[in-house]
Amino acid sequence: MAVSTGTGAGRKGWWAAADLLVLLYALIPVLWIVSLSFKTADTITDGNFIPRSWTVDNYAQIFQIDLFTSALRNSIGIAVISTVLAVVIGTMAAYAIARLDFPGKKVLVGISLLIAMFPQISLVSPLFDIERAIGLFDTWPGLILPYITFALPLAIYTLSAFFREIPWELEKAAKMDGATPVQAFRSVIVPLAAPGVFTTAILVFIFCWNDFLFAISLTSTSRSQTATVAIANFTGASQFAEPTGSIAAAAVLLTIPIIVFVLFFQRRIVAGLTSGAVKG
Amino acid sequence: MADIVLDKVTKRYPDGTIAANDINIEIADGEFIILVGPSGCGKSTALNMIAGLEDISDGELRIGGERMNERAPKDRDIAMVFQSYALYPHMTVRENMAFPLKIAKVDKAEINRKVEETAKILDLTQHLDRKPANMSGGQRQRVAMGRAIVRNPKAFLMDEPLSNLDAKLRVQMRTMVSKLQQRLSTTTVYVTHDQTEAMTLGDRIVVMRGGVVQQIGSPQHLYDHPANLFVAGFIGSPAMNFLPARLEEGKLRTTLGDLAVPDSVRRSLEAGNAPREVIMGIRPEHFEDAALIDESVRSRGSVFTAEVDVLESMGSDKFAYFTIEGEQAMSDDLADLAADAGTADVPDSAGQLVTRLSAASPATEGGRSEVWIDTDKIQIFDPSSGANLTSRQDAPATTAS
Amino acid sequence: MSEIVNEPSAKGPGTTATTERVAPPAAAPARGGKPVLSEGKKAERRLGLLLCAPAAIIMLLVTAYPIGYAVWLSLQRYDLRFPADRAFAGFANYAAVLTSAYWWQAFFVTVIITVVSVAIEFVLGLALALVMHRTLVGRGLTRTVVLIPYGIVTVVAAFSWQFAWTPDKGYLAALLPEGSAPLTDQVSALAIIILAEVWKTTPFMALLLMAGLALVPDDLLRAAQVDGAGPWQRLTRIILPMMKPAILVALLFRTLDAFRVFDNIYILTQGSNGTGSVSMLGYDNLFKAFNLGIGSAISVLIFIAVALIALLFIKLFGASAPGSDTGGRR
Repeated sequence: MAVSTGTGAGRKGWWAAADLLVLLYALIPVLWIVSLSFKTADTITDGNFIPRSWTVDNYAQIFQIDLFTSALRNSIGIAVISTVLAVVIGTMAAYAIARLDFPGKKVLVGISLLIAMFPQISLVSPLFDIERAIGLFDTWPGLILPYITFALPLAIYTLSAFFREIPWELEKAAKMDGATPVQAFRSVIVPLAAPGVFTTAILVFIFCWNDFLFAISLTSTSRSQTATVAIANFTGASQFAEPTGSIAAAAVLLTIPIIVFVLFFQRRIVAGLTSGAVKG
Repeated sequence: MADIVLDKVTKRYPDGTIAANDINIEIADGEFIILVGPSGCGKSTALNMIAGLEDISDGELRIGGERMNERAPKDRDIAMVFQSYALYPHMTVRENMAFPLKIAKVDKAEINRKVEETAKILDLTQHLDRKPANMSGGQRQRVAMGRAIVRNPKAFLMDEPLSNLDAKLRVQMRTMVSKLQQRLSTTTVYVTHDQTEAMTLGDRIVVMRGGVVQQIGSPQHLYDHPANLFVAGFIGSPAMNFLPARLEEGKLRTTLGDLAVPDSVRRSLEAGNAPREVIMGIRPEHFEDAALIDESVRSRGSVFTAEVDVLESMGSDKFAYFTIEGEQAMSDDLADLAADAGTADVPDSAGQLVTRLSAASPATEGGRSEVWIDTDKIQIFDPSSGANLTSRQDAPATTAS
Repeated sequence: MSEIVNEPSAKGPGTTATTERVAPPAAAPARGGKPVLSEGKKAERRLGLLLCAPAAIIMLLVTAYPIGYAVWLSLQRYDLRFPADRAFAGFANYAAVLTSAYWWQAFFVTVIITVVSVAIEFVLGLALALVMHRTLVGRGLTRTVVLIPYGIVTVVAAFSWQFAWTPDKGYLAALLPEGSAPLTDQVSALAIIILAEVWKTTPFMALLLMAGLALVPDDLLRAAQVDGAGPWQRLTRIILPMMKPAILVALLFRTLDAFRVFDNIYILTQGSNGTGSVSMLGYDNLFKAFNLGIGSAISVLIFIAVALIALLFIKLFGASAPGSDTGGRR
């Protein structure tokens, strides 16, 4: 495996230390917000990394706030719909790019490259004006459309990379076995691409879930405001309450799906890589 | 079951390159035919055109008498075995073999029966529920064969199906393929770059080079009567020796001395108005240690003496290598062959004479040996066209078996 | 309108944008000269175009049209508070922006954040990539754990940093001398913004670099070792040169991404005390000043800046435009 220098035990020690650093790096800010979310109102400003006294009041409280529960609903609904649509459309395009010969292929790749580099803020003012004019402002579709647009380059690149790893001959073989191009796609490429599609779906979901700029610019009420915006605007359960605990609890809730997905995602990637008798 | 006819088939790419030029092959029903040649010779293109995976630019492809040019692969009823096997990794062996039947909407019981039957023939019954990833190369190869056989197609197309196996397994599988084809007697087109495979498997061989068919015939015919330098050099291992020679006074002047030209050869040369500068070809087995030869036989050929560079004892025979002094035979065909074999840049490889002697030969490395040449077997080629000047005109150009 | 749309981008990374309108008609007759296509080939083409159409239509509809519209808006006097005053203003908005000290401060803040954070991310990301690629223990664990900063919502992470640096409340503020308020001072606030950016996006950089690292064959490193190269020489002489394409793609994407920094600043400082980026400025002009004309001019200027950065990378460093076939790399 690795180029060897030094002795086994010592090197393992060094790697373990490096791993620990990585672990601390990744986890400390997350643990901090978790810790805050469990602190009681009177200890929340004590500056301790580990809470002196624990409570789940903060969590109970945020579910009392209508703005937050509706925002959570909006976030989930908008992210899921955007993900499904972006992955379906992206899968179609990526399959065509990776597998088929047709005019205009390079143009599509060029467009998606441009969009991947596009500064979203540049779209905010025109979209704001356009969406107000056509009644999409502060609606789900008003957010879903830009989400799909900016998720598509990501989806197309990731998926076409996955598709390229499936050898051409399998599709030829399916054709020789009597399949039409559509059948070849459905019965050979789709099952092989499923891990890639799933991975892509997670990446796209994370992107949509994470968005703040579009959400804060293109929404104004609980009708479509997402959780990221709701947190940013939190002023606490009552007007005078310190909002830190509520913000922390809401932040942890927003992080849970990410943690779950990351664990699941890692497994899918490994499975995707090892299922590869693809090499033949 | 069907015959396959390639009628003036040409493949031209949009950028102008011609991958296959005016190919005419008539493959009889049930015949096992091999397309062989160095990489880039157009054999795979030809196979893909038969399969329908590549368009035919010109000419016509007929299977069972019907024009196929415009048909999609699925409508041609032919099965293909790929070099990489192209097994579907997410399906078990059973599902892989059932796939073409499922696509064809065969009913379940029938699929099961056929898969079981095929698995039995290929000795795969106990592996039916495994995934290809967990199988050895030989097993995967058999699954690929099974997937082709199971639907009982009009023809099999095989694209270097054995080239991913190690040498020993390849020999075993070669026998299996051969038996299987005899048993099913389905028309088979088999592509390979390995001349040994071509010689051992095929009823007939098609030798290709640069998109052009060089010669079609039975293995023995190609071996004995190669149409040109390229075929002569490509078929046979170790390869035929080529030496520059000069025709003078009914003799062949070569660096090995003056060799008598057999009457039959002389007659055809005179009839053909042959040039004086030629290339002489002779296979390694047409030499023998002069010490082991009867006087009567000895007088039928010629004898030369030279120092043995390298002696390889194979047990059954000895291969003695000599260095040829002076110029070497030059022609486009030979340059192509050397490039294909990868010997173009190896020093001395062209100036070497390979002879196969009996095991009893007393020759020693570094010692001088007297070697006899069977001059009857000499073939003479035109250096500019590469054409064989000695091939008997009465021999059929193609022989169906 | 759509003619203007692709003007700036045509100078940018994808000159493809200009060929786009030309390509289909030009390609059709060229291909038409080809001999009759078999049914399979024709079906393949139809399928290809059909499959790509939805993606192409959505992407163009949501970006090309609005950016064209933004250019038009930027030439208007258009203040939402005084909609009646709306009128064509030529380049007045651009003049106003480009002569404003706010724009140039935001611009330099953005450049500083971009340059410093990408530089740190590259070094840290490379180290992280090496650890993930080579570690002998806990490889799966490290690879899983680095995905957390990548996946976490930026707003959430920003709050974590904000609370950590808030005096009396945060564990990090507690380490500072009494009375310091790091988030209210320009330099320390920028440092914290950069820290938040680096923390969140280093894993992404590391993953991109690890993909490049995987392309360096182990045999090559063994050969270098046999040839007497030490670990540092192996890194600088072999690994990095071989990773160059991956590095350039990673840097390009991260630079463009960092240039649009918004979320972290919004949460951490609201752009106060001279910490606002150009994106913040555009947002404020739109939603606090309600000036669509000025806001759009800023939008267009940011777009041009991003296009120039991309162009710079491609021309100067020869970053192959990702997507020109090698871009399939994740």
